Amino acid sequence: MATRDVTPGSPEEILHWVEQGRLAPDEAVLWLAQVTKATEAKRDRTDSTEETADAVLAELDRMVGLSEIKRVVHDIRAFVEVQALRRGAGLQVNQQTWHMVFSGAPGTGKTTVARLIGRLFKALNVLPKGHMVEVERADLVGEYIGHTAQKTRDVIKRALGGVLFIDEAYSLARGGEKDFGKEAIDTLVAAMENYREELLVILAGYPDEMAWFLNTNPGLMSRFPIRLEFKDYSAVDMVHIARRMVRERDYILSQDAEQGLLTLLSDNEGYWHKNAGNARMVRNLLEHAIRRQAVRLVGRNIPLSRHDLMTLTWSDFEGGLD
Amino acid sequence: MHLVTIGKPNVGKTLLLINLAAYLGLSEVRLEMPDGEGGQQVKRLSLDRARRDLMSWSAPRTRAIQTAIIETLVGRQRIRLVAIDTPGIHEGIASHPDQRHLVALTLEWLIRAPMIVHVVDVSAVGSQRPEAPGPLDLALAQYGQRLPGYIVVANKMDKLGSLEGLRAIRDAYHEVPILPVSCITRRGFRDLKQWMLHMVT
Repeated sequence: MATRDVTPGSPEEILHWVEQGRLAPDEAVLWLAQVTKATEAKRDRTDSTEETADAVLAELDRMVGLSEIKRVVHDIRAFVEVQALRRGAGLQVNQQTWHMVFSGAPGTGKTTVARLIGRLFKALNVLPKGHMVEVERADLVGEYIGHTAQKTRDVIKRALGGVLFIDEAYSLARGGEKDFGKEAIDTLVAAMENYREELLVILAGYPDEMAWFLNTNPGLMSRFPIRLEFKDYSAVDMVHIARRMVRERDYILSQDAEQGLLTLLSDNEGYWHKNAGNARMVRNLLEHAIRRQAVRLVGRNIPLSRHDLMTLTWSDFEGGLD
Repeated sequence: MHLVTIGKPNVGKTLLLINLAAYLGLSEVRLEMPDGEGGQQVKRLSLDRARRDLMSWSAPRTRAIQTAIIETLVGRQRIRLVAIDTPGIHEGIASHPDQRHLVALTLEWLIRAPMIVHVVDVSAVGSQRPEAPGPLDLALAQYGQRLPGYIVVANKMDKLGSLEGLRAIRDAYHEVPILPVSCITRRGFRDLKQWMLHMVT
Protein backbone atom coordinates (compact mmCIF):
# COMPACT_ATOMS: atom_id res chain seq x y z
CA MET A 1 0.00 0.00 0.00
CA ALA A 2 1.23 3.44 -0.89
CA THR A 3 0.35 4.93 2.44
CA ARG A 4 2.65 2.58 4.28
CA ASP A 5 5.66 4.85 4.43
CA VAL A 6 3.64 7.65 5.99
CA THR A 7 2.61 6.95 9.56
CA PRO A 8 -0.46 8.45 11.19
CA GLY A 9 0.36 10.66 14.14
CA SER A 10 -2.89 10.95 16.07
CA PRO A 11 -6.05 8.91 16.67
CA GLU A 12 -8.01 11.48 14.68
CA GLU A 13 -5.75 10.95 11.71
CA ILE A 14 -6.19 7.19 11.90
CA LEU A 15 -9.98 7.51 11.98
CA HIS A 16 -9.83 9.88 9.08
CA TRP A 17 -7.80 7.38 7.08
CA VAL A 18 -10.34 4.68 7.85
CA GLU A 19 -13.07 6.91 6.44
CA GLN A 20 -11.03 7.59 3.36
CA GLY A 21 -10.52 3.89 2.81
CA ARG A 22 -6.78 4.05 3.29
CA LEU A 23 -6.68 1.72 6.29
CA ALA A 24 -8.38 -1.61 6.93
CA PRO A 25 -10.03 -1.89 10.37
CA ASP A 26 -7.44 -4.30 11.78
CA GLU A 27 -4.55 -2.10 10.69
CA ALA A 28 -6.31 0.91 12.14
CA VAL A 29 -6.73 -0.81 15.51
CA LEU A 30 -3.05 -1.69 15.60
CA TRP A 31 -2.11 1.88 14.83
CA LEU A 32 -4.48 3.10 17.51
CA ALA A 33 -2.81 0.78 20.01
CA GLN A 34 0.55 2.32 19.18
CA VAL A 35 -0.54 5.93 19.15
CA THR A 36 -2.65 5.83 22.32
CA LYS A 37 0.10 3.96 24.15
CA ALA A 38 2.49 6.80 23.41
CA THR A 39 0.07 9.48 24.61
CA GLU A 40 -0.81 7.49 27.71
CA ALA A 41 2.82 7.14 28.69
CA LYS A 42 3.10 10.91 28.42
CA ARG A 43 0.03 11.40 30.57
CA ASP A 44 1.26 8.95 33.20
CA ARG A 45 4.34 11.00 33.75
CA THR A 46 2.44 14.22 34.26
CA ASP A 47 -0.45 13.28 36.51
CA SER A 48 1.04 11.33 39.35
CA THR A 49 -0.88 13.49 41.80
CA GLU A 50 -1.85 10.97 44.43
CA GLU A 51 -3.84 12.19 47.35
CA THR A 52 -1.80 12.74 50.48
CA ALA A 53 -2.84 11.70 53.96
CA ASP A 54 -2.66 15.32 55.04
CA ALA A 55 -5.19 16.35 52.42
CA VAL A 56 -7.64 13.66 53.55
CA LEU A 57 -7.23 14.55 57.19
CA ALA A 58 -7.70 18.23 56.42
CA GLU A 59 -10.99 17.34 54.82
CA LEU A 60 -11.99 15.37 57.91
CA ASP A 61 -11.03 18.28 60.13
CA ARG A 62 -13.29 20.55 58.15
CA MET A 63 -16.31 18.48 59.13
CA VAL A 64 -18.44 20.00 61.88
CA GLY A 65 -18.19 18.46 65.36
CA LEU A 66 -16.94 14.85 65.59
CA SER A 67 -13.98 15.89 67.74
CA GLU A 68 -13.53 12.46 69.29
CA ILE A 69 -13.57 10.76 65.91
CA LYS A 70 -11.09 13.20 64.44
CA ARG A 71 -8.73 12.46 67.31
CA VAL A 72 -8.93 8.69 66.81
CA VAL A 73 -8.37 8.98 63.06
CA HIS A 74 -5.33 11.20 63.62
CA ASP A 75 -4.02 8.58 66.07
CA ILE A 76 -4.51 5.84 63.50
CA ARG A 77 -2.56 7.84 60.95
CA ALA A 78 0.32 8.37 63.39
CA PHE A 79 0.35 4.68 64.29
CA VAL A 80 0.43 3.55 60.66
CA GLU A 81 3.22 5.92 59.75
CA VAL A 82 5.36 4.96 62.72
CA GLN A 83 4.83 1.28 61.96
CA ALA A 84 6.01 1.91 58.41
CA LEU A 85 9.11 3.67 59.74
CA ARG A 86 9.77 0.78 62.14
CA ARG A 87 9.50 -1.66 59.29
CA GLY A 88 12.02 0.43 57.40
CA ALA A 89 14.36 0.30 60.37
CA GLY A 90 14.09 -3.48 60.57
CA LEU A 91 12.18 -3.44 63.86
CA GLN A 92 9.28 -5.67 64.74
CA VAL A 93 5.94 -4.49 63.42
CA ASN A 94 2.61 -4.87 65.19
CA GLN A 95 0.09 -6.85 63.21
CA GLN A 96 -2.86 -4.55 63.52
CA THR A 97 -6.29 -5.10 62.09
CA TRP A 98 -8.30 -2.02 61.30
CA HIS A 99 -11.86 -3.29 61.12
CA MET A 100 -14.20 -0.84 62.74
CA VAL A 101 -17.60 -0.43 64.29
CA PHE A 102 -19.39 2.87 63.77
CA SER A 103 -22.30 3.41 66.08
CA GLY A 104 -24.52 6.41 65.84
CA ALA A 105 -27.88 7.70 64.73
CA PRO A 106 -28.56 8.27 61.04
CA GLY A 107 -27.19 11.51 59.67
CA THR A 108 -24.27 11.76 62.08
CA GLY A 109 -21.61 11.39 59.42
CA LYS A 110 -20.85 7.64 59.49
CA THR A 111 -20.83 7.12 55.74
CA THR A 112 -18.85 10.27 55.07
CA VAL A 113 -16.19 9.36 57.62
CA ALA A 114 -16.01 5.79 56.26
CA ARG A 115 -15.33 7.16 52.78
CA LEU A 116 -12.59 9.39 54.14
CA ILE A 117 -11.03 6.48 55.99
CA GLY A 118 -10.88 4.50 52.76
CA ARG A 119 -9.07 7.36 51.07
CA LEU A 120 -6.79 7.86 54.05
CA PHE A 121 -5.76 4.21 54.05
CA LYS A 122 -5.11 4.40 50.34
CA ALA A 123 -2.87 7.43 50.92
CA LEU A 124 -1.07 5.57 53.71
CA ASN A 125 -0.62 2.47 51.53
CA VAL A 126 -2.64 0.29 53.89
CA LEU A 127 -5.28 -0.40 51.23
CA PRO A 128 -4.48 -0.69 47.54
CA LYS A 129 -7.59 1.05 46.20
CA GLY A 130 -9.45 2.77 49.00
CA HIS A 131 -12.89 2.77 47.36
CA MET A 132 -16.00 2.05 49.38
CA VAL A 133 -18.77 -0.44 48.78
CA GLU A 134 -21.85 0.32 50.82
CA VAL A 135 -24.23 -2.54 51.50
CA GLU A 136 -27.01 -3.60 53.83
CA ARG A 137 -28.53 -6.88 54.90
CA ALA A 138 -30.42 -7.48 51.67
CA ASP A 139 -27.20 -7.37 49.66
CA LEU A 140 -25.57 -10.06 51.75
CA VAL A 141 -28.33 -12.44 52.72
CA GLY A 142 -29.83 -14.78 50.14
CA GLU A 143 -33.07 -16.65 49.88
CA TYR A 144 -32.03 -20.26 50.03
CA ILE A 145 -29.28 -22.38 51.48
CA GLY A 146 -25.94 -21.60 49.89
CA HIS A 147 -27.18 -18.44 48.25
CA THR A 148 -26.02 -16.24 51.11
CA ALA A 149 -22.38 -17.31 51.03
CA GLN A 150 -22.34 -16.68 47.30
CA LYS A 151 -23.90 -13.25 47.60
CA THR A 152 -21.64 -12.23 50.44
CA ARG A 153 -18.56 -13.41 48.57
CA ASP A 154 -19.59 -11.41 45.51
CA VAL A 155 -19.90 -8.28 47.62
CA ILE A 156 -16.55 -8.94 49.26
CA LYS A 157 -14.93 -9.40 45.88
CA ARG A 158 -16.17 -5.97 44.84
CA ALA A 159 -14.88 -4.42 48.05
CA LEU A 160 -11.41 -5.96 47.87
CA GLY A 161 -8.75 -3.30 48.03
CA GLY A 162 -11.10 -0.89 49.76
CA VAL A 163 -13.73 -0.52 52.42
CA LEU A 164 -16.80 -2.70 52.89
CA PHE A 165 -19.36 -0.61 54.73
CA ILE A 166 -22.25 -2.60 56.15
CA ASP A 167 -25.06 -0.34 57.25
CA GLU A 168 -27.40 -1.52 59.97
CA ALA A 169 -25.15 -4.51 60.44
CA TYR A 170 -27.04 -5.67 63.53
CA SER A 171 -29.86 -6.82 61.29
CA LEU A 172 -27.61 -9.73 60.25
CA ALA A 173 -28.17 -11.27 63.66
CA ARG A 174 -31.80 -10.31 64.02
CA GLY A 175 -33.36 -13.47 62.72
CA GLY A 176 -31.85 -15.80 65.30
CA GLU A 177 -29.94 -19.05 64.82
CA LYS A 178 -31.73 -20.33 61.73
CA ASP A 179 -31.55 -17.07 59.85
CA PHE A 180 -29.20 -16.85 56.86
CA GLY A 181 -27.71 -13.71 58.39
CA LYS A 182 -25.52 -16.00 60.45
CA GLU A 183 -24.08 -17.47 57.27
CA ALA A 184 -23.29 -13.98 56.01
CA ILE A 185 -21.41 -13.19 59.21
CA ASP A 186 -19.43 -16.43 58.98
CA THR A 187 -18.50 -15.80 55.35
CA LEU A 188 -17.50 -12.27 56.22
CA VAL A 189 -15.30 -13.35 59.10
CA ALA A 190 -13.61 -15.95 56.91
CA ALA A 191 -12.95 -13.34 54.21
CA MET A 192 -11.52 -10.96 56.77
CA GLU A 193 -8.96 -13.60 57.66
CA ASN A 194 -8.20 -14.47 54.05
CA TYR A 195 -7.84 -10.96 52.76
CA ARG A 196 -6.16 -9.45 55.78
CA GLU A 197 -4.23 -6.88 53.80
CA GLU A 198 -6.86 -6.02 51.25
CA LEU A 199 -10.11 -5.47 53.04
CA LEU A 200 -11.35 -3.11 55.70
CA VAL A 201 -14.77 -3.89 57.10
CA ILE A 202 -16.84 -1.24 58.83
CA LEU A 203 -20.04 -2.24 60.61
CA ALA A 204 -22.43 0.61 61.21
CA GLY A 205 -25.73 1.09 62.97
CA TYR A 206 -27.65 2.57 65.86
CA PRO A 207 -25.65 2.51 69.13
CA ASP A 208 -28.01 0.29 71.13
CA GLU A 209 -28.51 -2.27 68.41
CA MET A 210 -24.81 -2.41 67.60
CA ALA A 211 -23.93 -3.00 71.25
CA TRP A 212 -26.41 -5.86 71.35
CA PHE A 213 -25.09 -7.25 68.06
CA LEU A 214 -21.50 -7.36 69.26
CA ASN A 215 -22.52 -8.88 72.57
CA THR A 216 -24.43 -11.69 70.94
CA ASN A 217 -21.47 -12.47 68.64
CA PRO A 218 -18.44 -12.58 70.93
CA GLY A 219 -16.21 -13.64 68.04
CA LEU A 220 -16.89 -10.35 66.34
CA MET A 221 -15.83 -8.20 69.28
CA SER A 222 -12.18 -9.14 68.99
CA ARG A 223 -12.17 -8.81 65.23
CA PHE A 224 -13.38 -5.24 65.29
CA PRO A 225 -10.95 -3.54 67.61
CA ILE A 226 -11.79 0.03 66.67
CA ARG A 227 -15.10 1.45 67.89
CA LEU A 228 -16.13 4.91 66.93
CA GLU A 229 -19.14 6.52 68.48
CA PHE A 230 -20.90 9.16 66.42
CA LYS A 231 -22.63 11.43 68.87
CA ASP A 232 -25.68 13.41 67.95
CA TYR A 233 -24.79 16.90 66.86
CA SER A 234 -25.39 19.68 69.33
CA ALA A 235 -27.65 22.57 68.39
CA VAL A 236 -24.62 24.80 67.81
CA ASP A 237 -23.03 22.21 65.52
CA MET A 238 -26.23 21.92 63.58
CA VAL A 239 -26.40 25.65 63.01
CA HIS A 240 -22.80 25.40 61.76
CA ILE A 241 -23.87 22.66 59.39
CA ALA A 242 -26.80 24.73 58.24
CA ARG A 243 -24.58 27.71 57.58
CA ARG A 244 -22.23 25.58 55.52
CA MET A 245 -25.03 23.95 53.58
CA VAL A 246 -26.61 27.28 52.61
CA ARG A 247 -23.24 28.63 51.55
CA GLU A 248 -22.75 25.66 49.24
CA ARG A 249 -26.07 26.48 47.61
CA ASP A 250 -25.36 30.21 47.24
CA TYR A 251 -27.73 31.29 49.99
CA ILE A 252 -27.14 33.09 53.24
CA LEU A 253 -28.98 32.97 56.55
CA SER A 254 -30.29 36.24 57.90
CA GLN A 255 -29.48 36.97 61.51
CA ASP A 256 -32.97 36.26 62.76
CA ALA A 257 -32.97 32.98 60.85
CA GLU A 258 -29.77 31.86 62.52
CA GLN A 259 -31.04 32.89 65.93
CA GLY A 260 -34.37 31.23 65.33
CA LEU A 261 -32.75 28.02 64.15
CA LEU A 262 -30.53 27.90 67.21
CA THR A 263 -33.48 28.31 69.57
CA LEU A 264 -35.55 25.80 67.67
CA LEU A 265 -32.76 23.24 67.63
CA SER A 266 -31.77 23.69 71.28
CA ASP A 267 -35.40 23.47 72.39
CA ASN A 268 -35.73 20.18 70.62
CA GLU A 269 -32.31 18.80 71.50
CA GLY A 270 -32.43 15.14 72.42
CA TYR A 271 -36.02 14.99 71.40
CA TRP A 272 -36.21 14.28 67.70
CA HIS A 273 -32.66 13.10 67.13
CA LYS A 274 -33.40 9.47 67.80
CA ASN A 275 -35.54 9.09 64.72
CA ALA A 276 -35.29 12.12 62.51
CA GLY A 277 -31.58 12.07 61.78
CA ASN A 278 -29.31 14.94 62.43
CA ALA A 279 -27.58 16.48 59.44
CA ARG A 280 -30.35 15.12 57.28
CA MET A 281 -32.84 16.95 59.46
CA VAL A 282 -30.99 20.20 58.84
CA ARG A 283 -31.03 19.54 55.13
CA ASN A 284 -34.78 18.95 55.12
CA LEU A 285 -35.31 22.16 57.04
CA LEU A 286 -33.21 24.04 54.52
CA GLU A 287 -34.90 22.58 51.51
CA HIS A 288 -38.24 23.54 52.95
CA ALA A 289 -36.99 27.06 53.64
CA ILE A 290 -35.64 27.44 50.13
CA ARG A 291 -39.03 26.58 48.69
CA ARG A 292 -40.79 28.96 51.07
CA GLN A 293 -38.36 31.73 50.17
CA ALA A 294 -39.22 31.30 46.51
CA VAL A 295 -42.93 31.62 47.28
CA ARG A 296 -42.30 34.70 49.40
CA LEU A 297 -40.23 36.38 46.68
CA VAL A 298 -42.60 35.64 43.85
CA GLY A 299 -45.42 37.26 45.80
CA ARG A 300 -43.56 40.55 45.95
CA ASN A 301 -44.02 43.00 43.15
CA ILE A 302 -40.83 45.02 43.50
CA PRO A 303 -37.61 44.13 41.65
CA LEU A 304 -35.47 41.66 43.56
CA SER A 305 -31.84 42.35 44.38
CA ARG A 306 -29.14 39.74 44.52
CA HIS A 307 -29.24 40.00 48.29
CA ASP A 308 -32.98 39.27 48.34
CA LEU A 309 -32.46 36.22 46.20
CA MET A 310 -29.81 34.87 48.52
CA THR A 311 -31.24 35.54 51.94
CA LEU A 312 -33.26 33.03 53.92
CA THR A 313 -35.15 34.65 56.77
CA TRP A 314 -36.70 33.08 59.82
CA SER A 315 -40.15 33.35 58.31
CA ASP A 316 -38.99 30.89 55.63
CA PHE A 317 -38.04 28.36 58.26
CA GLU A 318 -41.07 28.64 60.49
CA GLY A 319 -43.36 25.69 60.34
CA GLY A 320 -40.80 23.65 58.43
CA LEU A 321 -40.50 21.01 61.07
CA ASP A 322 -43.72 19.15 60.61
CA MET B 1 -19.73 5.38 32.46
CA HIS B 2 -19.56 4.20 28.89
CA LEU B 3 -19.37 0.62 27.78
CA VAL B 4 -18.86 -0.28 24.16
CA THR B 5 -19.44 -3.65 22.51
CA ILE B 6 -17.25 -4.26 19.52
CA GLY B 7 -16.57 -7.17 17.20
CA LYS B 8 -17.26 -8.80 13.86
CA PRO B 9 -20.78 -8.84 12.41
CA ASN B 10 -23.24 -11.37 13.77
CA VAL B 11 -21.21 -12.41 16.81
CA GLY B 12 -24.04 -11.44 19.15
CA LYS B 13 -23.17 -8.00 20.43
CA THR B 14 -26.72 -6.70 20.58
CA LEU B 15 -28.23 -9.79 22.16
CA LEU B 16 -25.47 -9.79 24.73
CA LEU B 17 -26.45 -6.28 25.79
CA ILE B 18 -30.17 -7.05 25.86
CA ASN B 19 -29.70 -10.19 27.88
CA LEU B 20 -27.30 -8.47 30.19
CA ALA B 21 -29.92 -5.81 30.82
CA ALA B 22 -32.40 -8.58 31.58
CA TYR B 23 -29.91 -10.24 33.89
CA LEU B 24 -29.43 -6.98 35.76
CA GLY B 25 -33.15 -6.90 36.40
CA LEU B 26 -34.22 -4.32 33.86
CA SER B 27 -37.56 -4.76 32.15
CA GLU B 28 -37.00 -2.38 29.28
CA VAL B 29 -34.15 -0.74 27.43
CA ARG B 30 -34.01 2.88 26.49
CA LEU B 31 -32.49 3.19 23.10
CA GLU B 32 -31.11 6.27 21.47
CA MET B 33 -30.40 5.99 17.80
CA PRO B 34 -29.94 8.36 14.94
CA ASP B 35 -33.25 8.81 13.11
CA GLY B 36 -31.61 9.29 9.75
CA GLU B 37 -32.26 13.01 9.62
CA GLY B 38 -29.44 14.09 11.85
CA GLY B 39 -31.48 13.92 15.03
CA GLN B 40 -31.74 11.48 17.89
CA GLN B 41 -34.63 9.22 18.45
CA VAL B 42 -35.34 7.79 21.88
CA LYS B 43 -37.23 4.54 22.04
CA ARG B 44 -38.36 2.51 24.98
CA LEU B 45 -38.55 -1.16 24.19
CA SER B 46 -39.52 -4.07 26.35
CA LEU B 47 -36.79 -6.66 26.32
CA ASP B 48 -38.80 -9.13 24.26
CA ARG B 49 -39.60 -6.47 21.76
CA ALA B 50 -35.94 -5.44 21.68
CA ARG B 51 -34.87 -9.00 20.95
CA ARG B 52 -37.35 -9.21 18.12
CA ASP B 53 -36.60 -5.83 16.62
CA LEU B 54 -32.89 -5.54 17.06
CA MET B 55 -31.49 -8.91 16.13
CA SER B 56 -31.79 -11.75 13.73
CA TRP B 57 -30.47 -15.28 13.79
CA SER B 58 -28.73 -15.18 10.47
CA ALA B 59 -27.88 -11.77 9.13
CA PRO B 60 -26.17 -8.90 10.91
CA ARG B 61 -28.88 -6.56 12.00
CA THR B 62 -27.29 -3.61 13.75
CA ARG B 63 -26.62 -1.01 11.11
CA ALA B 64 -26.08 2.09 13.20
CA ILE B 65 -24.53 2.91 16.51
CA GLN B 66 -27.19 2.52 19.16
CA THR B 67 -27.02 3.70 22.71
CA ALA B 68 -28.79 1.87 25.50
CA ILE B 69 -28.96 3.35 28.94
CA ILE B 70 -28.76 0.80 31.71
CA GLU B 71 -29.72 2.14 35.08
CA THR B 72 -30.04 -0.14 38.03
CA LEU B 73 -29.60 -0.35 41.75
CA VAL B 74 -27.06 -2.80 43.04
CA GLY B 75 -27.35 -2.86 46.76
CA ARG B 76 -27.50 0.76 47.72
CA GLN B 77 -25.44 1.95 44.83
CA ARG B 78 -27.07 3.36 41.77
CA ILE B 79 -25.32 2.27 38.65
CA ARG B 80 -25.65 4.12 35.41
CA LEU B 81 -24.09 2.62 32.33
CA VAL B 82 -24.32 3.95 28.86
CA ALA B 83 -23.93 0.96 26.60
CA ILE B 84 -22.84 1.68 23.06
CA ASP B 85 -23.86 -1.04 20.64
CA THR B 86 -21.83 -0.82 17.48
CA PRO B 87 -22.38 -2.45 14.10
CA GLY B 88 -20.05 -5.36 13.39
CA ILE B 89 -16.85 -4.61 11.57
CA HIS B 90 -15.98 -6.63 8.47
CA GLU B 91 -12.39 -7.43 7.64
CA GLY B 92 -10.83 -5.33 4.95
CA ILE B 93 -11.58 -1.89 3.63
CA ALA B 94 -15.28 -1.41 3.02
CA SER B 95 -16.15 -0.20 -0.43
CA HIS B 96 -19.02 2.06 0.59
CA PRO B 97 -18.10 5.39 2.24
CA ASP B 98 -21.05 5.16 4.65
CA GLN B 99 -19.75 1.88 5.95
CA ARG B 100 -16.26 3.24 6.36
CA HIS B 101 -17.76 6.13 8.29
CA LEU B 102 -19.49 3.68 10.63
CA VAL B 103 -16.23 1.81 11.16
CA ALA B 104 -14.52 5.08 12.06
CA LEU B 105 -17.31 5.99 14.49
CA THR B 106 -17.05 2.57 16.08
CA LEU B 107 -13.30 2.87 16.46
CA GLU B 108 -13.77 6.27 18.02
CA TRP B 109 -15.85 4.65 20.73
CA LEU B 110 -13.12 2.08 21.15
CA ILE B 111 -10.78 4.92 22.11
CA ARG B 112 -13.27 6.81 24.24
CA ALA B 113 -15.12 4.18 26.26
CA PRO B 114 -13.48 3.11 29.51
CA MET B 115 -15.16 -0.31 29.30
CA ILE B 116 -14.63 -2.33 26.14
CA VAL B 117 -16.46 -5.60 25.61
CA HIS B 118 -14.92 -7.35 22.64
CA VAL B 119 -17.31 -10.05 21.46
CA VAL B 120 -15.96 -13.07 19.60
CA ASP B 121 -17.91 -15.98 18.15
CA VAL B 122 -15.84 -18.94 19.33
CA SER B 123 -18.03 -21.45 17.55
CA ALA B 124 -16.96 -19.97 14.22
CA VAL B 125 -13.21 -20.27 14.74
CA GLY B 126 -11.63 -21.55 11.55
CA SER B 127 -14.76 -21.22 9.45
CA GLN B 128 -15.23 -19.00 6.41
CA ARG B 129 -18.25 -17.20 7.84
CA PRO B 130 -17.99 -13.43 8.33
CA GLU B 131 -18.26 -13.83 12.09
CA ALA B 132 -15.15 -16.04 12.29
CA PRO B 133 -12.40 -14.45 14.40
CA GLY B 134 -9.74 -12.92 12.21
CA PRO B 135 -6.97 -10.33 12.04
CA LEU B 136 -9.30 -7.64 13.35
CA ASP B 137 -9.99 -9.59 16.53
CA LEU B 138 -6.31 -10.24 17.02
CA ALA B 139 -5.60 -6.53 16.59
CA LEU B 140 -8.35 -5.67 19.11
CA ALA B 141 -6.87 -8.09 21.62
CA GLN B 142 -3.52 -6.41 21.18
CA TYR B 143 -5.14 -3.03 21.63
CA GLY B 144 -6.85 -4.20 24.81
CA GLN B 145 -3.79 -5.80 26.39
CA ARG B 146 -2.75 -2.79 28.39
CA LEU B 147 -6.24 -1.51 29.23
CA PRO B 148 -7.88 -2.31 32.58
CA GLY B 149 -11.39 -1.99 31.14
CA TYR B 150 -11.00 -4.48 28.31
CA ILE B 151 -12.54 -7.94 28.25
CA VAL B 152 -13.00 -10.57 25.55
CA VAL B 153 -16.39 -12.23 25.63
CA ALA B 154 -16.13 -15.66 24.00
CA ASN B 155 -19.74 -15.86 22.90
CA LYS B 156 -21.94 -18.73 21.67
CA MET B 157 -20.48 -21.25 24.09
CA ASP B 158 -23.67 -23.27 23.67
CA LYS B 159 -22.80 -24.12 20.08
CA LEU B 160 -20.98 -27.17 18.81
CA GLY B 161 -17.25 -26.74 18.44
CA SER B 162 -17.12 -23.77 20.77
CA LEU B 163 -14.79 -25.50 23.23
CA GLU B 164 -12.12 -25.98 20.60
CA GLY B 165 -12.67 -22.41 19.50
CA LEU B 166 -12.27 -21.15 23.04
CA ARG B 167 -9.02 -23.04 23.38
CA ALA B 168 -7.72 -21.58 20.12
CA ILE B 169 -8.66 -18.07 21.23
CA ARG B 170 -6.98 -18.56 24.59
CA ASP B 171 -3.81 -19.64 22.81
CA ALA B 172 -3.87 -16.77 20.38
CA TYR B 173 -4.73 -13.80 22.63
CA HIS B 174 -2.20 -13.14 25.30
CA GLU B 175 -2.64 -11.36 28.58
CA VAL B 176 -6.26 -10.41 28.12
CA PRO B 177 -9.21 -11.62 30.21
CA ILE B 178 -11.36 -14.05 28.23
CA LEU B 179 -14.83 -14.86 29.50
CA PRO B 180 -16.81 -17.76 28.01
CA VAL B 181 -20.43 -16.68 27.67
CA SER B 182 -23.60 -17.97 26.12
CA CYS B 183 -26.52 -15.67 25.60
CA ILE B 184 -28.79 -18.70 25.24
CA THR B 185 -27.86 -20.59 28.39
CA ARG B 186 -26.83 -17.46 30.33
CA ARG B 187 -23.46 -18.97 31.06
CA GLY B 188 -20.91 -16.40 32.18
CA PHE B 189 -23.41 -13.64 32.92
CA ARG B 190 -22.68 -13.70 36.61
CA ASP B 191 -19.00 -13.10 35.96
CA LEU B 192 -19.81 -10.42 33.44
CA LYS B 193 -21.97 -8.62 35.97
CA GLN B 194 -19.22 -8.90 38.56
CA TRP B 195 -16.73 -7.46 36.14
CA MET B 196 -19.04 -4.57 35.36
CA LEU B 197 -19.69 -3.77 38.99
CA HIS B 198 -16.00 -3.96 39.64
CA MET B 199 -15.34 -1.50 36.86
CA VAL B 200 -18.05 0.89 37.94
CA THR B 201 -17.04 1.08 41.59
